[in-house]
Amino acid sequence: MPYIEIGHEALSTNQLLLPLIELVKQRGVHPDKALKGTKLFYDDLKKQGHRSSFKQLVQVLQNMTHYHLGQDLSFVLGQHMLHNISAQYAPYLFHCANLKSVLVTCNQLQNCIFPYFNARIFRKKQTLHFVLNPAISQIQPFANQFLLEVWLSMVCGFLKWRLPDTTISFQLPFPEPEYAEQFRAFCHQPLTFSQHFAGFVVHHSMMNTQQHAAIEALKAPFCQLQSLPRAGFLSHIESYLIAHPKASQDDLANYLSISTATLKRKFALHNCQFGCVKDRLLSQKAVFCIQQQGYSNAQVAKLLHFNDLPNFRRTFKRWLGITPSELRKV
Amino acid sequence: MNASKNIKHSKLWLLLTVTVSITISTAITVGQWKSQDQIEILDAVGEGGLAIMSLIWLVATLLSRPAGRVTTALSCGLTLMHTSLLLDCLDEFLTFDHIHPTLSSLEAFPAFLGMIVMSFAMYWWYQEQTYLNLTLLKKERHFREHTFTDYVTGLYSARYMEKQINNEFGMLESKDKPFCVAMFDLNAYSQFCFKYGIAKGEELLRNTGQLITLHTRGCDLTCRYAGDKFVVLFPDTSYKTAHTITARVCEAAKKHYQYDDDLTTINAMTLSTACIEISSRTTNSGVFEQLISLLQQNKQAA
Repeated sequence: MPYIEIGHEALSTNQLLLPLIELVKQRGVHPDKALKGTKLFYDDLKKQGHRSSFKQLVQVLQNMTHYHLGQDLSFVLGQHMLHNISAQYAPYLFHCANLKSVLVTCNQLQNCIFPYFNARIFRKKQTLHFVLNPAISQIQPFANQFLLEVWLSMVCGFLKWRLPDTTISFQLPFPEPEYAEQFRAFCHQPLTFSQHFAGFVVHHSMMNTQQHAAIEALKAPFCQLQSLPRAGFLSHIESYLIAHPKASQDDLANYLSISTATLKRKFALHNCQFGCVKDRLLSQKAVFCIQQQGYSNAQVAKLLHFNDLPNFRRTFKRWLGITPSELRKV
Repeated sequence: MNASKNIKHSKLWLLLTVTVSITISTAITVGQWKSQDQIEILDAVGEGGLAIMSLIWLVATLLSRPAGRVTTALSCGLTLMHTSLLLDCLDEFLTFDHIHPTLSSLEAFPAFLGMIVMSFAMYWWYQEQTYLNLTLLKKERHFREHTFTDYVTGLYSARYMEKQINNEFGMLESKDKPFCVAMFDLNAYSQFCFKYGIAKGEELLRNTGQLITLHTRGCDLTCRYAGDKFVVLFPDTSYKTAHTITARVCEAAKKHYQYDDDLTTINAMTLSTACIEISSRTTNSGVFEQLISLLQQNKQAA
């Protein structure tokens, strides 16, 4: 199977789940309580090369909501992940000459570094826009926010350490939380909350910012990696739908070599539907075209293959809760 | 044997179990069951409820308090009260009139004795709280709310500091007393964690919090802001005084060493600092943003 499903035990436990359990344990919660409902035991997690599923990770995040563990947990975990990843992928990341090279490497290694999100890229003359979508499965907002905070803390930690002169604007899909000080302390980059999608914007002028102490000749080639992990279920589907925007559910089922009924069951297992994924991809493109490229409604409707303008306006309102003209005013 | 040592307050739990068992078994053995028409259900439910509630209080005391004189006295007093209430409840189902008609009247005596013991316990508890308040003097000001506590350092969190800064804004408006706020940041904390691990890093944060608390005045308030940042409130203080105190904290930090598990010295820590005087009303987030940007400037200048 060319993709990871929510229940596949394919994710390295050592990368996120074990540090999370260790942190929770340090903060006074017994590991077995955190692991309740995952069919995992604390001792199993410590085994060399142990793998767990995304479902088990989400169950742990769900269990954690019952305890008062401090609002910095996700941010501390992000720092921990940064150290883990630095130790594991230093030959690939630390000798990238500049930000552009780092971004290319991260794009290649995204399933190794942070397999929970998939970055979709939109290009503009002066800027590059990255939109983060769930890679494996659609998850509840609290778990999505937790994983976004982990990712943000990890990325900002890396930028502060290796590329301190870089400025990247981050956009988060939730309103500014009560614990905004954690964002101010861990992320030294411009942040905007309550956005339609999670992502970040890089200005082209930043691309040539040099990485500290990087020696390009020492950068390890990707062929040294034994094998790159597979992409997540949603990530795999999105890649196909981006390449084939007119594809139907049956086309997708054919592409995955499964029946349409099985595909529907898989979607239900991953808490989404074919329409939801397609809507998300189209709405992201529409928002980019309207907000960043200043397209008119007619231009966007044509680009997204809508037959008439009222239909586009109505669908846009259904996607985001506001009309295209309201979005322009924002 | 080892298991009983591991259980917190094992002797007090044993005392409770033995007392309750003896009370129930003696009452059942000695007493005679009342006929069904003699039992007053409402009375039995009310008195049974009181006995259960006293037992819940007792269990909560044993689970939450550390060992010591206050806990022992509180538990003994509550055990005696519980015995009385239990006898009162059993009295509804059993009669002791065949032994002596006034025997049932003695059930209140354990409660009376328990209340005397608990009065002593309350007095010791008051003394204990007075000492605890002294130790918390630099960690809190006129307000206690455990949900605002930072788990790692034991200090109060940014939420608590926001409340205190709001109070200071009130003082500023009513009495025109300016105050100062300073922020401390551990240098190279991320690298420290990378080298020694998160657990050691959290220990460093704890020590830093204590060090800052130790080197500030009794009237100042130290809180953990977030990450490796701490924030200190200097009420009714000029910028010059606050600046002198922050400089002293940084000097003290340079002389503080961390030790590894095998007592090897890790390194001295250094702190970056930013201090501002607030003489006009602004917002909490405005104060923190100003401090963070000044801290960045000071770090770059250094």
